[in-house]
Amino acid sequence: MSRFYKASLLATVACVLGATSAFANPAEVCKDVTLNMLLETVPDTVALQKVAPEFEALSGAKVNIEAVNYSLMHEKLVPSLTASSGAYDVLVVDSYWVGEFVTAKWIQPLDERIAKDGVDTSVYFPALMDINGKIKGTTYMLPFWQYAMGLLYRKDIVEAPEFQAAYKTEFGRDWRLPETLEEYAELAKWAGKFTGKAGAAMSGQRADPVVMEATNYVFSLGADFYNREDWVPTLNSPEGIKAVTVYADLINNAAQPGALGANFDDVANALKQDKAVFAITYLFLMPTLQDPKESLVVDKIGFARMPGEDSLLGAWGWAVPSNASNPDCSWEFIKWVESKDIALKRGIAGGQPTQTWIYENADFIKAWPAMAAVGDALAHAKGLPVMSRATQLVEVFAEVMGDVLANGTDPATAITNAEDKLAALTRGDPLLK
Amino acid sequence: MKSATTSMNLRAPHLARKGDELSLGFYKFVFMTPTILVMMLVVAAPLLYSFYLSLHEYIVTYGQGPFIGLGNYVLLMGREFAGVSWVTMKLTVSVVVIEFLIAFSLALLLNQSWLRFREFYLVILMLPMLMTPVAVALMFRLMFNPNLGIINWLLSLVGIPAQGWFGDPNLALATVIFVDAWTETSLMLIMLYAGLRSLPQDPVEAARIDGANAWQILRHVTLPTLRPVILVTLLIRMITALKSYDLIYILTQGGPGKTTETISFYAYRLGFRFLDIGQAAAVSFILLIAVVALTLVLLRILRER
Repeated sequence: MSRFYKASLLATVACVLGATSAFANPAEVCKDVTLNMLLETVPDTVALQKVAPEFEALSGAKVNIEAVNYSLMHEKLVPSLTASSGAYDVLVVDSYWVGEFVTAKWIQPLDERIAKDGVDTSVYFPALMDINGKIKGTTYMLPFWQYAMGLLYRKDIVEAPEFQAAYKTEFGRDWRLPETLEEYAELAKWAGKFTGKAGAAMSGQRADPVVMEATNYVFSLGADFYNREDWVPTLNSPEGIKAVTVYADLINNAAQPGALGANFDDVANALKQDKAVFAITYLFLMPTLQDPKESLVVDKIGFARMPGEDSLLGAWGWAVPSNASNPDCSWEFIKWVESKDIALKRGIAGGQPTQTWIYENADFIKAWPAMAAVGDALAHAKGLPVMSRATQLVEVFAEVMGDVLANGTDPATAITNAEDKLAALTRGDPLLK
Repeated sequence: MKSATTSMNLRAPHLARKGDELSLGFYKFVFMTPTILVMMLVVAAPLLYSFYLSLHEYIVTYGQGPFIGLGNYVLLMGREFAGVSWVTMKLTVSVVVIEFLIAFSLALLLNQSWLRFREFYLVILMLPMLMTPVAVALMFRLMFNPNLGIINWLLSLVGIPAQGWFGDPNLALATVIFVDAWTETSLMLIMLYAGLRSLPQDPVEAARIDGANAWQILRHVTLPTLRPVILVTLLIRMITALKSYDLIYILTQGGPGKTTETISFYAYRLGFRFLDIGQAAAVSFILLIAVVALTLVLLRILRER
């Protein structure tokens, strides 16, 4: 046998052994196990439900997916995680719960398992690993799906010659997508009047919807909640105040009726029912906007990155809860669901992949052309601070927004009123030392 | 001998009664003990534990902190708690008054002797009470959806512009009160109707013979005799209204801003969103004190009756 054949044989054996260890007999640890997991009612969950039977066939486990509205998830998870044996075997963790879950020791470190099974974490967008993977040097999660946010707009409307002519008359320049937040605000207000629709579909409902949306305005102007070096609150800056002011202006002068009670489903509905021109929202809404059964705007929606500096980056990560009854099987599931072919299948089925290579895959881009812009969106995005009380940061910022939007409080005063609360959230946080 | 026998006969039943009383007491104790133990376990123990928690700093993420006495209660004495208390009061007074007026009017109507198909109407009017609040809230959330709901569509037919309803700071609480009234009026109706049906008819007949008209009979005969039932109904409704949570949770999440945030929802938010169990327990205890005070008033009325 020549040296070449020997080497080939050895390489083949190594590959087979490697593959075998990567899927180290899920049946051995998962046979007759029921894996319970709690997920949000979003396209990625639908995509997961489509592929989950493959894991059941491979492992002999039963995958039990409980899909609920986002607002219910945290309050269902926390009691389960504080109990000695939890209700869920695999967790999906929103990026702003990460600090809380790590500090409370509710999720297991994965580094040993990753090293043992040779899982390649370099396939993920580094920005996603930063917010939903590694915390202070330890890997707790593998990124499941990302929720890049940006500008969704009606291509058919903005590309119409009469719209562009009127735009030129109004703004004295040729049509272009807005490059700054101020430009977007002026455009949305004008477009609403010009088309007779809402210039911007907005989600002002407390707490998560308004915060996820308004944080884009904050980041777009270069403001932030804290100085991320010394953790002093910084929202009370000219940029922070301006961001809240612009948001309030748009809610009052460009948004659909009842935007203060709207969540992202309502934003999607306003777009789908041809009632809005623009929205700063999640790209993951695209599959529902492209569904001819429920959408009047199929193939009419474009996506661009958030005008200005940055948008909010969020993601969900897979984790093994510390009180999982069968953590080995939980890990086998995570490993399987993040394996290349399954991740691609989920992406093609309407998911929001977290692995970079999928965005270069021809089949994926053919299925979801708008996803080609995701790389650019992720490059200009940042997450909420990874801190133990980020969930409460969302609540406090929601209070600020509510004070401005519902009570008419001046943004500077509302932010000043919240400064003590913002400062208290970082006090004694072990993740920020 | 006779007297001895008599004496024995007299004493024996006495002794037997005493024995019976002892054994009755013993059996009462035996039969009551499991119930008392279960009640202590499921009611008293959690209550005491939550009071204990309300005296400690306890943020779930960091674990239980030190004893801080009434610190959590003192922290609540600010603008925020005053705000949610004010909303709770507005909501409670509004729903109790509105629901009482509707329920009492309907109960009077149903009590009319000339009314046919009374049971049918009663069943229809009871339907909201039979539905779960969450289902009702979801139904109304759809109906009041500003863009896709039937209410705005109906208004548009008569030229009224679309309203924000739950998303409008000026309308949100009123819309919640409307939904609450739709859901909860049935309970008051049943109680008041039952009260009306149980009233003696003689005073009414006597008043009628004396020439009293319908309004005079209502004011001087029906209302005074129905007074205890009315008070009990109002108090029960007031206690449940003070604890309003489920409709708020589904319809508005306490928003826009804090325009519909009640004390119960505030306690939920502190506990499940801020994970501040100490403060959430303190809010719950303050609410409990208010509810217990109202319950004591209720019990007193029932005793007087």
